[in-house]
Amino acid sequence: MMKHPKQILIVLILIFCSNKMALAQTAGINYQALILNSEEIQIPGADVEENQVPLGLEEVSFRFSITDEEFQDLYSEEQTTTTDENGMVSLIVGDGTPLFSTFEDIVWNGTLKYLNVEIDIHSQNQGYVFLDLQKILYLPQSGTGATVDVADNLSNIPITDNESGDIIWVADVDGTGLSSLMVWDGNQWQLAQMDYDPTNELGLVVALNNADRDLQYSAPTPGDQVWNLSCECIQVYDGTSWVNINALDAIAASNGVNIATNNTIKLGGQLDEPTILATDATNTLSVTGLEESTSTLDTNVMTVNTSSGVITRSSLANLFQEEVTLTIAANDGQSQFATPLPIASPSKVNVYRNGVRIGFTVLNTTQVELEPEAICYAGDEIRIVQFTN
Amino acid sequence: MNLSHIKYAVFLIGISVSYAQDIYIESSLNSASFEEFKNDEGVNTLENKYSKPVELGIGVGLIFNMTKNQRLKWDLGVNYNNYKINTSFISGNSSIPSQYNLYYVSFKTGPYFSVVNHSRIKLQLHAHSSLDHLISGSNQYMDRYIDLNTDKSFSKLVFNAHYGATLEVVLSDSNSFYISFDSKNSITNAIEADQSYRLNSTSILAGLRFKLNKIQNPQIH
Repeated sequence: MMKHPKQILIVLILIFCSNKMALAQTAGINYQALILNSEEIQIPGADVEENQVPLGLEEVSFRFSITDEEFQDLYSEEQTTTTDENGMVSLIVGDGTPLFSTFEDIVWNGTLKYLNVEIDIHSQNQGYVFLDLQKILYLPQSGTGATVDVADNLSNIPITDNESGDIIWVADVDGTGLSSLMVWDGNQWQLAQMDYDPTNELGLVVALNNADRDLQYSAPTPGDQVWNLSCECIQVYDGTSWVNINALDAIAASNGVNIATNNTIKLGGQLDEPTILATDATNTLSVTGLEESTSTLDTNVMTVNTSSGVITRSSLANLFQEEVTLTIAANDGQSQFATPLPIASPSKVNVYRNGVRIGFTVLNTTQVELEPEAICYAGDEIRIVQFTN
Repeated sequence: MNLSHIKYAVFLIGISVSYAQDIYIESSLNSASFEEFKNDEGVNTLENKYSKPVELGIGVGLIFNMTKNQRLKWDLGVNYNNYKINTSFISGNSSIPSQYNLYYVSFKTGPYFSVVNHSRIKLQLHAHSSLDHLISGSNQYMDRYIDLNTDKSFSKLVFNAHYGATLEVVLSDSNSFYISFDSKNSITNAIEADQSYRLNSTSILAGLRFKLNKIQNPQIH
């Protein structure tokens, strides 16, 4: 019977980069293979054909070479192991004895790389023979460092010289010690585990009453929230007590606003402080539907101070002025005349000579002087019309 | 098997029955194993470290008296046996379990010699030879199943040498009960001229023997 050279066959190779992963303890690539015995095994009856059964408990050495896309060696190493009873080997490429360069010096820049595998079966004494050539698949990784970049907090993460897909581990993203992986999206860092699904959010914890709430939160922390059915309000623990954040009875009304029954806010009440309603040409203040009154008794009108805008009231009687007229026959060259009433304001005094209104100046509270051009002649009629107030 | 063969077999059976003194029917418990396997490098790569399953067999046959004192008799019989063999072979340095399931029809013949020839109890030694023909057989390991009937590398005919002892208890003038131990060793089977093995089995048999002359000429008391 023809003796077949003893060879092995890789039927399964699982490769994934653990390089630069945040939780990795050793930089390297997991390599697993099932090694089958391609030697024909003689038994009574039909012999066991090649590659039908695993090569178990066999001492073998592997030579791993990582090459670039032009098959130039970037790194190579050797490892020796023994297959298990099922022919399996499980190794970490990067954990062996380096023959060329070091695993950490490999630049994982996204270009295509190959893993070339050679095997030496010690019992065969044939040395290394070619076994397999595989493309290496990549996982997301950060920059060119050996590990994921780590920052203490958001203020320490780099905001320049980043490339899309760069990742960083931030030990404290919110000031409370919450850690997170972040990814540079080309413009800014984004939380890697951010939840974009609004349908999976949790609702508030519901408590029947305060006792039930205290039972559920025996040791509340600031920020805990609960929907309390008894008060129909959301209660938030502020570190000292539970605060009703939507209870209307916790809101005080003042300065002309009051809370009526059924928690209805209404206009009306005592003003507690000077209050200004600012209006302008567009935003005017109007009152409509006022009842008309024909009586002038016990009726005031609302007046507005020109400068302060303060609203006051005034009796109608104050608004109507009494007109007092004094007619004097002037002497020749006379220019000063006494007024019938004390002068409160020059605007309340009008002076006429022979029926024509003329200017004057106030000499004092009881006298006015005609303008110089208005020289009186004997017999001219000077009429002084003065309004009270 | 054509009609002439059947006619010839019936003729031989008829002749044999007419000359035989006893006819027997027996059942057996058998366990078997491959021994002295050698591959083409002269290495035994089989490991018989597993249990040996016990399987049933049945048989019928004729016994001829060779001497007047009936100490020496001749046995001619047919048996149907099932052998289930658990073994393993080496791949690398680990064992791969394998199970053979074999069904044989065996034609055996050979002498009995009674070392104790009491009228009621007899102790007999026997040395037989047999020719086993494989009816059906299979070999299984891992997820592989091999039909040995279609496998040309597995011997369909096996020549064997038996030895053993039988304790026979005479129940009446016409029948007796016996229990027997039998060790069967095959003549070395050569496979493709450079591999070899022996198929050995050990059997415990129990059966009944009937006097043919009592059946043919019943005495009236």
